[in-house]
Amino acid sequence: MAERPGPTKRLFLTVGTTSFDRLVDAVDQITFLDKLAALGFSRFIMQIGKGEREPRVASHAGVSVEWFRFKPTLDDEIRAADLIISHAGAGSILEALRAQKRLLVVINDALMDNHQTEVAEAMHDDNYLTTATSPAPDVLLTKVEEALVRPLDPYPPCDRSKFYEAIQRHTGVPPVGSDDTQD
Amino acid sequence: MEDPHLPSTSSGSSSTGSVSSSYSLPLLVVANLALVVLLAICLRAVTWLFKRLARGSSDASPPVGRVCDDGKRIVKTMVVLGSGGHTMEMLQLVHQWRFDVYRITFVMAETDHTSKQKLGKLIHRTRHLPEEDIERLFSFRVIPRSREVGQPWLSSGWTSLVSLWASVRMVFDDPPDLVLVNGPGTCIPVCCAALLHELVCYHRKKLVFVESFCRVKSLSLSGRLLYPLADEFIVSWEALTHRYTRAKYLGVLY
Repeated sequence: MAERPGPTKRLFLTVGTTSFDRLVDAVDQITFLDKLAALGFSRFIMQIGKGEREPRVASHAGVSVEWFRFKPTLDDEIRAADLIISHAGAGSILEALRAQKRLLVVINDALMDNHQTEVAEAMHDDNYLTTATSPAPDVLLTKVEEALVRPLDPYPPCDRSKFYEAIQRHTGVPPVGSDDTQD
Repeated sequence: MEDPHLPSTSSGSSSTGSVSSSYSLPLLVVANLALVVLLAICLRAVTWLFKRLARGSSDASPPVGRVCDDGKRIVKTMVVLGSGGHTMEMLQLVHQWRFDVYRITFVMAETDHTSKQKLGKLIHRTRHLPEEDIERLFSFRVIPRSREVGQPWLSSGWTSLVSLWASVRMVFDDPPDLVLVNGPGTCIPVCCAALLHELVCYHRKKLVFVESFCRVKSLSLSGRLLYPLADEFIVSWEALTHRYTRAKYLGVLY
């Protein structure tokens, strides 16, 4: 894929079940699409949820822009993406990291007392992803490049064995096992 | 000097004695009985609470559950599903369990319409069981939501009572051995009912609390309330165990 000539990268943006109009507004700009073209992107797909701000630019500098509000599952979009820009929702963050994707989390600084910000910041401290502290256009221009090139650590695989052991200690029976699980 | 006093004191005491016996002896007996009963209840409550609080810090208490006639072990389990993120996390924790041993009742809030669907899809995808099988594998109970987001506190007091009553009826109807919660508002009345059942009916239970992945630096309100009472208190971020010494970090769960 890297050998293929011309820009081929896909960028996927997701705002989850709510809306994030300021983020959509910040990326629906000629300057941002110029930046994407320079970074080798050819497709930009946005999931904008309940947002009122709809993307207006359909194509610019060889980057085609598509958008939708909701889909039953975002698995395909996540799998196909080379970079994901996401709101700070824990669900979206985990989905992207589980798919081993590069992720830029944009924090909605207009939301007060938002605990989800803590997840993004902790993940950033552990070097699993990149965060942008606000959806300001100039911040995003630098962060989108950083998110693409910065060396990251892989998010550790999920391991519930200790949790299952804890349950077993309280009930005397392992909650998961090789025994038949039917009936 | 002493002689004239003796009859007067004895007559005085006998007269008061006769007064009390003629007017309030039955009342006195009832009152005493009530006092004894009250003391017994208090004693039970205090010893139960003491044991409960002590249990969380040690894993010494024996396992719960029972053995059926055919020798199979059964652990009746109550799992509270909340909404959105809480539900997804909880389903991740339990979808691989042995449902023949762990008989799971999923408790959902009245306004939750998607949890059952999500469970069906997850079971279908990861266990290759038909989505319709969830009706056969689990039971579902619905209780009124204790407090909607943004609901004023005055009316939330009433709705809390309503959901507590529903929880008490549910738990006493089919008491669980294991209660697994991860902090949605609905889990508080359910846990209260389960603890009340343990106190009143001497049915020992294990209460396992798994704090949401979203709580990095502090506990949720439900977490803070159940922290001293839970048998097992699990957090998703190691830093929380420094502040809450009873909490355990058991690795990456999601």
